[in-house]
Amino acid sequence: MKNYLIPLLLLVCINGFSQNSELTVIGNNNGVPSNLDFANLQSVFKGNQAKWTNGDKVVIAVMKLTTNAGKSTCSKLYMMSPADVTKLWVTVSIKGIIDPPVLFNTAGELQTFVSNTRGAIGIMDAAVKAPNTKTVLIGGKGTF
Amino acid sequence: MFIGVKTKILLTVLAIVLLFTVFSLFYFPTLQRKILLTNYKSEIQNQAKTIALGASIALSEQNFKGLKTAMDFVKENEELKFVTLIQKDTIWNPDSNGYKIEDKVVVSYPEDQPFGIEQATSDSLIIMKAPFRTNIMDGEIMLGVSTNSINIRQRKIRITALLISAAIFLVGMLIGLWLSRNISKPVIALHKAAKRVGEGDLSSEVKSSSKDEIGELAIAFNNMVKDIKKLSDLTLEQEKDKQQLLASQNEALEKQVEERTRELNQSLVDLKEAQLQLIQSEKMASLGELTAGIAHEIQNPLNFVNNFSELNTELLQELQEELAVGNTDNIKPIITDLIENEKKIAHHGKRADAIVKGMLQHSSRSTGVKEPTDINALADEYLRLALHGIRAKDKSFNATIKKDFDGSLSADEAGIGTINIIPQDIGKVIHNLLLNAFYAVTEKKKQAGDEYEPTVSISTKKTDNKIQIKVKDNGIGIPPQIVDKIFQPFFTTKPTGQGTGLGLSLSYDIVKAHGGELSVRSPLEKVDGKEGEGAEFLIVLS
Repeated sequence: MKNYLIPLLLLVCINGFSQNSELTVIGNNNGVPSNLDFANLQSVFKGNQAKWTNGDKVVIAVMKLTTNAGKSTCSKLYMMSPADVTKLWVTVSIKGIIDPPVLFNTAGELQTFVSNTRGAIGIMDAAVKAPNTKTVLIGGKGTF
Repeated sequence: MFIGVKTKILLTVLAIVLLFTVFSLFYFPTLQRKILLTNYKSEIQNQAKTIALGASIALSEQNFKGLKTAMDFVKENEELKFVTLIQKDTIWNPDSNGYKIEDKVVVSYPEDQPFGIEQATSDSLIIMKAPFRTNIMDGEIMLGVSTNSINIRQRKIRITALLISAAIFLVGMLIGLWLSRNISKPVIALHKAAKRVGEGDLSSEVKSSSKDEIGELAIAFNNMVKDIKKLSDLTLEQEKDKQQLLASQNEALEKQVEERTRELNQSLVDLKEAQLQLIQSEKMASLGELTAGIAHEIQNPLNFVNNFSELNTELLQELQEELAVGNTDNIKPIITDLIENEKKIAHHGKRADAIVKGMLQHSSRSTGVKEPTDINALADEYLRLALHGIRAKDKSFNATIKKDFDGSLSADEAGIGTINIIPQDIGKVIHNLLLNAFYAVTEKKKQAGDEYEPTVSISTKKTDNKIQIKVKDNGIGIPPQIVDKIFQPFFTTKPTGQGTGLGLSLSYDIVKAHGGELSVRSPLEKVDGKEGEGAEFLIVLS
């Protein structure tokens, strides 16, 4: 039994570590504010805000919930399981206040999308490198 | 009730148009609504399925594009009332040995929509549900859509149907009017012409230019009228000939009738004369028979008178001789005889006188005045006269005479028992009946021979204020086939010269004139097994 317990604990620890990776919020230069507090961020990502202050439509981009970044997003931002987050987005889609989030497999794809989409805001586990994008500070921090 | 062809055609067209209008206004829109509703429901169901599919993909693959597209598409529908995502939760009981499925609303669009999950389809709302199943959740999409658009479309269809119906009605009525005018006009013309023909106007003609059955009918009608006219002219001519023939025949017939009437009048005059002569002959015959009887009756007293007169002559000569010789002893008995004889002469003289008076009484005409009469005496007297009469003609006549007179009918000294009749007339009736009875038994005697015993009876009887006088014989009787005719004038079975056929007829009239009845019964009932014979005449006087 001991022979199995140690590898299992290690796996759980690795997994727990990977789901709690640092997340960075990336935003298009048009419309997306440079600073948001955590509550505002949660509100935006839960689909409660349809437009930015400049009038641009809010477009949400997230990593697929099967990726580590996606899982971290669920736990750190939504504080829900991936299934509940999925249900939340289904609800958002039906409510129709904003478009449902666009999901990506890689941070590069996400950055490219945010770079090319006005009002797009995304969340990933990598540094912001794409043009026409900026890191949105959350509570004055670049990651959370 | 008379309904014209025009009206019938109009009514028919109207009925068809109305039928079509009803179909257009009610049936067609209802059918359309059903079809629309079915299609609409199918469309809504598809939308619900699409959303459910989008939700299923979104939940299982985290791809929300499909769900968004489906929602965007559904939201374009102006009649959309709500979209509800329902989660089906499995609720286990505390013992974990049973569960129930509970529906829970996850989200609705719009959020403030008032409809719950229990909402069902109604006239104004269509509810469609589409289930989905993923590893995250099981649920269904509930879609509610208003039927306003269908109602609006139905209203449009109704208005269109109404307009079309109105147009059809108008066109139908115009066609109906045109049809009725085209069909009824020649028919009415035919009807009028037929009526005129019926009233005798055979010059009627129908003008019809239509090249159809009605036109052919008009031609046929005109031909028929022409034929009728020809036939009518011919019939009139024949009728005229017949009338002329009839008139000439009538004239000839009238002449014949006049001639016959003249002849009949002459015959009637001749017959009346003959009748008078016959009645006179009958009277003469009757008088002759009476005279014969009376003569026979007088002969008897006259014989007495003559005999006693001769005897007295002889006695007077004898008395004269005795006086001459002075033999007075013989004179007294002679005188006594003379006196006795004289009495007998006087008696028989009176008897003759009475007979002569009776004869005079018979020969005199009936006074026509009823007087109290002793019917028994009258019957007896005429029996005697009849017997004398028959014996005067037939010396060999012999018959048993039976008399049965009712004593209550014999007049007493005070005259009680008499009845009021015209004695001469009733006497003639009795006399006639007796003579007929004598004739019948005489004829029977000739047929039957010596074994036959002729019997004639006369009787009187009083019953219930009525007087019956019955004369009965056992003679040859009266055959049944002629018994009804014997009271007819001039009917007789006697050989020519022996009877006029007026005796019974006059007797019948006399009895009737007295308010009585004269009847006959013959042949009489069977006697000792032999066929009944004889006759019985009954006079009933009131």
